[in-house]
Amino acid sequence: MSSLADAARHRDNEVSAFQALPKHAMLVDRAARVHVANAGAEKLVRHLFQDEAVPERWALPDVFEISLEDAVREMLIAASGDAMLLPLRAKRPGLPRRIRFRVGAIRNGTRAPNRFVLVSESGDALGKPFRELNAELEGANERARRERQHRLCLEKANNDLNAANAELKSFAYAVSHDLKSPLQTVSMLLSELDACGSRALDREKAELVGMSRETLSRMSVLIEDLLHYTELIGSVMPCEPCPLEEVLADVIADLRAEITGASATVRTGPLPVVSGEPVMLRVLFQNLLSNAIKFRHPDRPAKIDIGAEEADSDEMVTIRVADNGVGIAPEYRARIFDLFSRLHRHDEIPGSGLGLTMCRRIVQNLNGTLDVDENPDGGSIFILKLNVARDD
Amino acid sequence: MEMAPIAGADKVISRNRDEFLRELLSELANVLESRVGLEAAEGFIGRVGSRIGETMNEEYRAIFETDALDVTQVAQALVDLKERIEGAFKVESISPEKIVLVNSSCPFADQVEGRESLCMMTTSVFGRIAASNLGYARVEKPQTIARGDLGCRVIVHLTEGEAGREFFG
Ligand SMILES: Nc1ncnc2c1ncn2[C@@H]1O[C@H](COP(=O)(O)OP(=O)(O)OP(=O)(O)O)[C@@H](O)[C@H]1O
Ligand SMILES: [Mg+2]
Repeated sequence: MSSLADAARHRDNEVSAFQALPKHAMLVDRAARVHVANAGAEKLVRHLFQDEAVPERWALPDVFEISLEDAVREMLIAASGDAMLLPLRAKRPGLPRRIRFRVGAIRNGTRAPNRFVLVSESGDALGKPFRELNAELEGANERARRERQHRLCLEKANNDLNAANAELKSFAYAVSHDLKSPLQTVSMLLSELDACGSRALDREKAELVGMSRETLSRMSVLIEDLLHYTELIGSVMPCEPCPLEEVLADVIADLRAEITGASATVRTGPLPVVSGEPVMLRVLFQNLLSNAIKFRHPDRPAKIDIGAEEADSDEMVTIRVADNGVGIAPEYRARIFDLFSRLHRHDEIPGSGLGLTMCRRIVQNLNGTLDVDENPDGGSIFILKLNVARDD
Repeated sequence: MEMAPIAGADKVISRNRDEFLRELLSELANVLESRVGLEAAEGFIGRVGSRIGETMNEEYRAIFETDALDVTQVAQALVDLKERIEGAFKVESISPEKIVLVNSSCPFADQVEGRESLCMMTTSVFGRIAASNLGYARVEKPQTIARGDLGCRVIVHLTEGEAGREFFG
C-alpha cells in the first residue's frame, strides 16, 4: 500500500472521527465564523432554529448568546487551556442552557492562531464537585440538625422522666404513708375485739377476726415494702468500694433461719469488690437469695450458687446467682421485674411482688443491669452486671 | 448595638484585612485544588488572572500612550504591577525571544506554599499582557516558592515551544 493512500485514509479517518464525535465540534475562524460543524453541532443548530431556515454560513453569535467581539476574545483566552462556557441563544426543550467548549488554537506557520477547534465538554467541570460539596454540606447540616433534635428529645425525655419520678415518689410515699395510720387503727380495733375475750365471740366470728388480722399484717408488710421502694425512685446513691464477699456473708447470716428451715445450701465463690452502696447491695442480695429459697423446687433441696466472672474491658463484672428452684417460664422472665408482679398465688407462697422491682432499681441506680436466664441444670440464674471498684 | 471589643482577642488574632484576604484566597485555592484537582483549579484561577491581565493591559497602554506595548514596555509593566502588590519581581534579562523575571518573595506571602494553583494568577496576568501586545506568549515557571523553591523564576517566552502555558493575542 502506498504511503499516499495511507495518509489519505488517515485523514479520512480523522474527518470521520470528527464527524462521528458524540459531542458538538466546530472549526471556527478569528471572526467567529463556523467553517465546519460536525453532525452533533449541526443537529444542535437545526434544533435551535426549529422552523427558521438555518443560514448557509453561520457564526458563533448566530447560535450563542455572545457578541462577536467577546466570542473572539473568549476563544483566545480559552485557547490557553481553559474551557469557554457559551449560553445558547434561545431556550429549547431538550437542549442544554449552556455548553462548555474546550478550545484549541490552530496555526498555519503563524504565531497567532487563525482558527480554533471547539469541542463540547460533557458537563460543567465545576458543577459536579460543587454539587458533591453541596450535597456533603447539606448532609452534614442534616446530620447536625438531627443530632440536635435527638439531643433535645433526650433532654426533654430525661426532664420528663425526672419530673415523673419525683411525682411518683411523692405520690407513692403519700399513699403508703397515709395508708399506714388507718391500718394501724383497724389493727388496734381488732385487738380490742380480741381483748374482749374469745368467749365473747363465737368460733366463726373469732376465725373471721383472725383472717382480718392476717390480711392486715400482709397489707402492712406491703406498705412497708412500698415505702422502701419509693425511697429508691430517682435516688442517687453515693458509691464506695464494697467487698461483695462481706456483703454476702452478712446476708447469709441474716437469712440463717430460712436457709436451715429449707435445708438449703448456699455456696459462694470468690467475689470482687464492686462500686456500690453497702446497704442497697445487702437489700439486693437479700431479695435474690430469699427468692431462691422461697421458690425452691418441692422435690429437691435448694442449692444456691453465687459466683463472679473476670471483669471485662468496660470495668463491669458479672455476678451470677444460680438456683435449682422451680424456674421461670421464658414468657414471664421480663415481667417478674415489674411492680407487684408475681407468678405465684399469695396463699401458695407469700410476697408483695416488689422484691425484684427493687433489685432492678438498685442495680440501675448503680449503672448496672439485672436479668434472668434459665439454669440449664434446672432453676433460674439471675445475672447481675456491676461496676468494679477502682483503686483510685 | 454597640459591642465592646473582646478582651485579649488581639493576642490571639493578628490578621488584618490584607492578611485576611490572602488567607481567604489561599483557602479558596485549597478548596478548589482539593475539589477539582490542580489542573482545573489552575484553569479557574487562570481565568481570573486573564481578566485582571486584560484590565491592567488597558491601563498600561493608556500610561504608555500606545496601542501595543513593545517588549521593554511589557517587561516594565510586569515589574510595575508586581511591585504594587509587594511581589518584587526583577527583570533578569530581556530579548526578542524571552523576558526572564525573578523574585524572592510572593505577594501571597507564606499562604502560597503548597498552593500551586495560586501561581496561575501570575502566569496568566503575565501571559495575557505579553500576548495581547506581542501576539504570543508562553509562560514557564522553572522555580516557584509555592513548590518550595527559595524564589520564583518566570520565563515569558515570545517564541513557540513545548514548556509552559501558551497565550494568544
Ligand atoms: N428464684 C426464683 N425462682 C423462680 N421464680 C422466681 C424467682 N424469683 C422470683 N420469682 C418469681 O418472680 C416473682 C416476682 O419476684 P419478687 O421478688 O419481685 O416478688 P416476691 O418474691 O413474690 O415478693 P417480695 O419479694 O416482694 O416479697 C415471684 O413472685 C416469683 O413468681
Ligand atoms: Mg422476692
